Amino acid sequence: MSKPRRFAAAILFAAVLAGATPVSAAAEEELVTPVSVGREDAPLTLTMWAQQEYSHLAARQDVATQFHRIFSEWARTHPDVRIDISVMPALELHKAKLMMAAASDRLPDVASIDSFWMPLFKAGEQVKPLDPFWPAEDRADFLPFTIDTLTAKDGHVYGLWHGTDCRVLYYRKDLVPTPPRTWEKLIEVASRIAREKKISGYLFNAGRWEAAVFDHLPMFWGQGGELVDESGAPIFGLPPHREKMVRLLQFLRDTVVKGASPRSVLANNDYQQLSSAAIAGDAAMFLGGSWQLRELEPSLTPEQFALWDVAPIPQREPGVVSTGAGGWIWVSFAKGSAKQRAAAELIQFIESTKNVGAISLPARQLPVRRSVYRDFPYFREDPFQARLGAWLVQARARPAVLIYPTISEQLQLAIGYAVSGDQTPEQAVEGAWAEVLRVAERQRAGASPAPAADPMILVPAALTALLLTFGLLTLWRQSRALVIWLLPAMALASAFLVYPMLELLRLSATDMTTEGAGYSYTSATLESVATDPDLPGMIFATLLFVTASVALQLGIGLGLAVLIDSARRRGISGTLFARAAVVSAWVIPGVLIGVLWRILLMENRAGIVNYMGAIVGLPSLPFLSSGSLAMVSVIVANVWRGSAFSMILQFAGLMRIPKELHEAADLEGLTRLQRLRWVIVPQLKPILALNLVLITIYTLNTFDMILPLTGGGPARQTEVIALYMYRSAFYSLEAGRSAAIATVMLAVNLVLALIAVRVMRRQAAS
Amino acid sequence: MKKRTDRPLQLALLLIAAAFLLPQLWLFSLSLKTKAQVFEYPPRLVSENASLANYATILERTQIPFYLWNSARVAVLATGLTLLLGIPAAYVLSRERFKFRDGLVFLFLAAQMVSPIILLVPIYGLVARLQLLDTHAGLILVYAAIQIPFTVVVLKSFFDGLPTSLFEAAHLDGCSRFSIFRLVALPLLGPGLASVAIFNLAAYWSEFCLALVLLDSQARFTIPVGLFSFQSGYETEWHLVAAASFIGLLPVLLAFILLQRFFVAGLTAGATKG
Repeated sequence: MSKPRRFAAAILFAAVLAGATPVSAAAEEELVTPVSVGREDAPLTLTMWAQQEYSHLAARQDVATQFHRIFSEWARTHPDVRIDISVMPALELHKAKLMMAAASDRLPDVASIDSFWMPLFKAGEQVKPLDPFWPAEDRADFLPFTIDTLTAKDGHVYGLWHGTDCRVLYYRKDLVPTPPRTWEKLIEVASRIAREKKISGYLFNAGRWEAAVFDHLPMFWGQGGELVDESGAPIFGLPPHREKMVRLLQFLRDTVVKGASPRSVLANNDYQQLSSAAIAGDAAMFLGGSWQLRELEPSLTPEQFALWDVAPIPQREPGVVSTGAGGWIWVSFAKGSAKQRAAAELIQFIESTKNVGAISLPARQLPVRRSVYRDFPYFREDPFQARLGAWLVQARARPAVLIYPTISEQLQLAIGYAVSGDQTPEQAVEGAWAEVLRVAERQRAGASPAPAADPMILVPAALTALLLTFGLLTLWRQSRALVIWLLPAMALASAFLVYPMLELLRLSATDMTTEGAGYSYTSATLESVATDPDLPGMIFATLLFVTASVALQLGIGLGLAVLIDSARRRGISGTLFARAAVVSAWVIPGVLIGVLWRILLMENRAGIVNYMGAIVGLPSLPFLSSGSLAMVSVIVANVWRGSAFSMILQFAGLMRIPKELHEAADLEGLTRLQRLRWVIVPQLKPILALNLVLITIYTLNTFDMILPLTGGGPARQTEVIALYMYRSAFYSLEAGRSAAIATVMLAVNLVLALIAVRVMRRQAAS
Repeated sequence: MKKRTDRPLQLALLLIAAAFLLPQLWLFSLSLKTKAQVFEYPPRLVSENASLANYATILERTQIPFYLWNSARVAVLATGLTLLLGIPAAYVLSRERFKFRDGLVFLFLAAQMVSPIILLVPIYGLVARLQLLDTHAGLILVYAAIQIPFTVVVLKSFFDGLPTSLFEAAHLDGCSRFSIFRLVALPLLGPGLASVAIFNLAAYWSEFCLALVLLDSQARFTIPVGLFSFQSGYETEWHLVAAASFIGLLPVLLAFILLQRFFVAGLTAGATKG
């Protein structure tokens, strides 16, 4: 494995030559690389989008090893097929990328997708049947629900289920002798443990992601509630289902109110947060997935692990058993019979009985092949596996309907609002229901026809070309040479800056979902943005975020600059070091700022900021899960990153203050404050003004650090307008809506830019 | 005498440095831990058996080396393209007098402040229609276009700062516009060019939103996108995320420490020169 080290070395020694990539050099020596399998010169190439944790790049070494073996075998036995692999770890991103690829006809040949995404792709057109290349006897080896769910109306089978899981209650036997079967009992037991042991009684996912909804559906189903009716139309907001949903949200709210669960459940958007709390000894019970059992085992001592057990999910009424089965499936989007055959063969090759038996345990999934239970005694005999298998029989999958992702997204928000107490459960369900109805209505109206011949599409392009031609003609008349010097820069900027601005206006008048999909011109998009009940909250969040960030950055920047400048004037050593330290935070990529602060602010007791707080006697603070604190955290992280910018500008301004002024101030015997008030601030005024406008623009357009830090949550409390725009376009796939928001942002941005230019001009003139 | 009054200032400088460096130090500390140690209680700066094993894992078993390579490639090529197109434009905007010149400078100045993230949707559409989605070529074109206004504005201000007499002398000697540019202006531009180049390199290296939207294949991801997807899987492996993050951070930090002067010059010029 010297190859990646060589890449690293190559990068370090900076031999950046276009064309010669390390990928091509590596493929000759090894058949399995992080991004490809097979020979470089194979006549057929399949593209594959796999799941990170179910690939040769899995973080778990044993899964990675198994896949490495499987892919090597495939490469050896299929020399004529090469696979270009991309692993897609971020769930939301994976789905959005697939949808966008579907719209622009760039789907991979093979993909691993979450089972409930299936309805998003047109059976037969986009996703291709596997059964023509998949023997019936092998299909019969799979659990019936996996085949039935994936069989379309035309009788063809459109996917191969690669393992499943179910949701269970984890509990520590030493703290909870008998697992609670009802909500009431659960809250009682958990709040008592929380009170007495000072640890979390009960943890669950309430962050903004799919699991927050799916984990809790069994509690809704267990009451007899249904999300959609038999035709697939949403009904969860209608009686009698509505009050069951309200009851569920009330229960979740109660866990926090009655002290059974900490508020930090609102920041749980990763199963790891549940298991890590368990590992840190900070949880008595949690609602998790069946695979987490094997997650706990290696991280705990055998004695500690023996304390844990699993039980069915507690329900409103005793005696009800309900759980949700998830699972991922392989699908083929390949075009042409050769590729379709190769794709189907590849999928079956990976999922052979032998391979499934070997992968299922390290991948911590429950096999759906009967022969695995027959050939691998572990799956029959392990006491945990046996019970999980029995519960799986009663498990339900999510409804395979087009509206489900919307329902989930809205219920995620509703759970956030209800658990945080920002809305009553009734209000939260009502809000989610209204939005689901709106989207369902639009789906019923049907996708607009493909934009075969839309003359409007030419308008922005023609306008841009006109502007550019006009500009160039004017130059041409004055001096032909000028055109040659200016044309390339002007042309590129026109194409990627001017044209998109005009195109934005056109798109904001459409109901486009994503580029390549059908659309029509309508004012409904603008109306829906203007009437979005969450809009005022997001505008408020944006104003808060921008005002606080700008004020703090200006103030701290000025303070730092003055301090460093006065140290410099006195010739104190270390000014350069301090300055470099401040600026080092500013050169960190924005996403990393989010990741870094998420690590610092981790909400269990091992989180470093909380730990430091505990040393000075502060209680553990929910930095990311409490709405107002999450906003504070986002602002602090942003100011930490951004103060350098204002410091540098103001430091440059300070250096320009004539020495004589300072000397005069020394003679007059001014105090530090007086000097600041009478010497420094008047001299810095123009720079401060410019700084103010520039920081405002930057902050208004910031969302890269918010995305990994809070994702806009809890609920939508840190969802600034820029993030809303981004999510609309690339998560909810509402390009028209996103364009409408962006148009407003553009207008604000341009106005601020004009102000900034005026300030600069005035400064240059004086 | 002097020493005593300096103490508080020195202490303040130290505190400032600590406030900005400690979070990064903690990231480094996490990167030396094992998975279980990330959540150990009480947390420790240096855990038992701290090792660089995570770095080896990252470099040998993940796609991070590919991301680094991609980032380097995209950043260098995009910077090259930006300068190639930006230098001539900045030069004539600085040295020539013509109608609409001020108008053009104004447009570049204003465009420099428009955030590309506002234009994500139409840019995605345009790149899709050009059949350049999921290619480095598409990303590089967009990057260059976005940084051209900044590049032109800053380079123009550097050209403005060159003494006029040199140009007049060269003109009297009968040099053509191109030879004046090549023989007089370019050689004097060194520090300005370095500032702009480094500033652009850093911007491209760190850019996230456009790369996230325009690229699909991991084989082509740049480091910020790679790190984002690395940390947002089902279950985050914080010890590996920390190591990967630190690897992504290191090149910019190193470049910054070595070339601080140019960074600051580029930033100041970009924000204040009109």
